[in-house]
Amino acid sequence: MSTVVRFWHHLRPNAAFERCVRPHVPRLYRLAWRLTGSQEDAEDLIQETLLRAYPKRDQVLELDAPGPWLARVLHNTWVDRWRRKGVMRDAYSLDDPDSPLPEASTSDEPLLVAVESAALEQALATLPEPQRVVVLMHDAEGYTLEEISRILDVPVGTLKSRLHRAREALRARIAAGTFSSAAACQGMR
Amino acid sequence: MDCNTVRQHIDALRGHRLPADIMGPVEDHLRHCRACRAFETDLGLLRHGLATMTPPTMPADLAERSLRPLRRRHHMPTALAASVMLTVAVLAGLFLGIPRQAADPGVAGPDGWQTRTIQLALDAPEPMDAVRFRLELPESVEVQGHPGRRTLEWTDNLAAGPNRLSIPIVLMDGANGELLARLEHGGRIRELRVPTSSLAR
Repeated sequence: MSTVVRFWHHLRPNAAFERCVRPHVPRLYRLAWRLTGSQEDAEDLIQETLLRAYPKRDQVLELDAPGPWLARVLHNTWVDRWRRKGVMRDAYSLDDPDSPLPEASTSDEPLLVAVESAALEQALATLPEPQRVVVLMHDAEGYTLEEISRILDVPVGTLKSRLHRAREALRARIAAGTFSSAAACQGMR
Repeated sequence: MDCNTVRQHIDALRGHRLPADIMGPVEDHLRHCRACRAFETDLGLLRHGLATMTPPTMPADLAERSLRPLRRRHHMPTALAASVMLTVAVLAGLFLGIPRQAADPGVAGPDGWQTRTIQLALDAPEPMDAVRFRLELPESVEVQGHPGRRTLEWTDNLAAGPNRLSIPIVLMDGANGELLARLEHGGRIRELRVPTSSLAR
């Protein structure tokens, strides 16, 4: 094949966008799965995310690190889905960054001996949605607070506070071995 | 410095991202506060637990399935105009050949745009390295996938013998002027000028 044929791939519609996006799909999928908790929903979310990103492909191609930008589109798509269903209407109002932090635990000894997946999943489900999202993105997926700030359009200081609340809550709930369904309902009403 | 504040700084402390004026008080607090050290121990377990909650394996074809609809959507107008082909043949042997071009009738798209594929046939008598290509586009003409770009430049090699470069373009209402394809190699320059009037229907 002539080397010039390769140029066609540079100029072909979609080729540059596909080449740019494809390496990010696995990480987007993991994030989608963590947000949705379902393989099927995660796949749908990926497809809708790429459909939304495509018209802005020129913007994507200009980015040095398109991953967080794509994650932002994915997160917005996910929030829009839930808002359409009316599920996330009040979720973010529950996360007042100005409210005082809960009193820090005073136990002198570690509360946790081990953290089992099932207990962790149950405890995660009790968190208010903004806290759940930030702890999943930061501690499970390894996004930095600065990246999450760009993805969620939330100041780093607020994210720090959310992350701290989430960790304290997870620690306390796993240690207590009890998970309040009422708290879960508040988070995803 | 209170326990809540210190606990929010633990990540930055361990990642060596704390400013010096905060690092000292945080370290000092941790040295003296057993509760915060206990929190940090538990935090390690929590983070490990979260990181090991492994998602199911991504279906191998997910990327392909997700990108396919975009490809189909974008290629549809191209397919409509598949029969529309402008061929520009360049005898690239030392860039002394005479260009030939021929145009087929065009097909208009629904929004007043028309798609065309220009084919440059480049016949090189020998391998030619580092040939510089430059496309200059008149107003209202774009290369598909590169909206708004008036010039595109790249460098590549030509194999000996026939080489073919297909350039999918979009002609919008009001397209006027010439499309210029410029090839440069070893100080020699070859230019092809294609009037948009020969591309549009």
